[in-house]
Amino acid sequence: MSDQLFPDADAHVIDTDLFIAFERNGAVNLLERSTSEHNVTLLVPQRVYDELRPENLPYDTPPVDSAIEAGWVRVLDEVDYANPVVSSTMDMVRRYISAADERAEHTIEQADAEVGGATATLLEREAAESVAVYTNDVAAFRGIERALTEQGYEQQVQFVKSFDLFDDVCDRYRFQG
Amino acid sequence: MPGTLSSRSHPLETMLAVSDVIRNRRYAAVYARILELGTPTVEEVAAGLDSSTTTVYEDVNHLSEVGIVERVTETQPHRYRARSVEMTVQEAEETYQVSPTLLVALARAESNDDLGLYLDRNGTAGLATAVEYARDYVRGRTNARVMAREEDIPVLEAETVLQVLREIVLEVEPNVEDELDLEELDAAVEESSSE
Repeated sequence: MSDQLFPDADAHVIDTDLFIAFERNGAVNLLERSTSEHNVTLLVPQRVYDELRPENLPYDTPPVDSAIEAGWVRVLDEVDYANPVVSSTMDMVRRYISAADERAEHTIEQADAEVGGATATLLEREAAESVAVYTNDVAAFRGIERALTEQGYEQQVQFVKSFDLFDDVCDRYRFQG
Repeated sequence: MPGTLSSRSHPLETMLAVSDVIRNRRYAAVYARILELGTPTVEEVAAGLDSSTTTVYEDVNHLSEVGIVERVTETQPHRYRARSVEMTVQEAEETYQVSPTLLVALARAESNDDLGLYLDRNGTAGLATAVEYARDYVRGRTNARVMAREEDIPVLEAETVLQVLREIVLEVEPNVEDELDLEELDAAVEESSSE
């Protein structure tokens, strides 16, 4: 990935941790710049969107809303829970999160697996042939990858660690005018 | 780290010394700076802090007397090393775990707004709990949603503090395992599904 910051994929689904990494470092503008230069739109599952704009906001306009308005972030439609591939992907993600943090599976909500559900929904609806998923949650991604491989989508999902993209984008743009 | 300070050595004295560092951010800042530099002189410690060299000199002396840091040289200029403070503290109704990472986090809360806000809202005990989550977060063992639910805070707040503390954990605890063993995880998932 020499000068390509983003992997070659039809869709780029991001988890909450990616946006927060840029937001808390005052670097959302760098993320915007990198997406526009690479012609990438970041897709945000509903749940992630809700998490990025909690009640009692410390600011008037949440950065994610400005990004949506500017067009480089888009909120995804509801996850298609009725689709068996989607629901089995989400179940698998829950099992992985639960195994990693040694908490009972019932304490992990289905919505916690929404990044996986959104990815499966895009593939099942043929809205994308390939999806890059941006998260720091290695366990959750392992669940997504395994579930979708079992469903025949092997090679169609790629993992990008949010912190790696953050570092790459900052290295590239921070010291430029 | 050589010289671990635990509540087993001199329970009351050590407890009081540690409470001192927790309450007085200037001490926390000096401790954090010594830990960061390894075995600095007072001048080196003072170079990165806002206080005057005289004040830092007094603070280092105090921390050395109570045993939170130790002098490692016989001759001038003296060098000091931070001891590893690991103990359980009970304050009012709450019990929490003190570690070098927590002390550095307290020191950083002065200059980091996200950490400062978290400390204001949740207190030292709350920050100590967040450090425990952050250690698991670095290890890939938990995420902000789990912490948010268990601590009854927004995911945005949990994720933000976890990301700030992650940097401190990686710095202060270089031996922390930061790669999740995926094969072990696969096996754990298998085991849970066959139950």
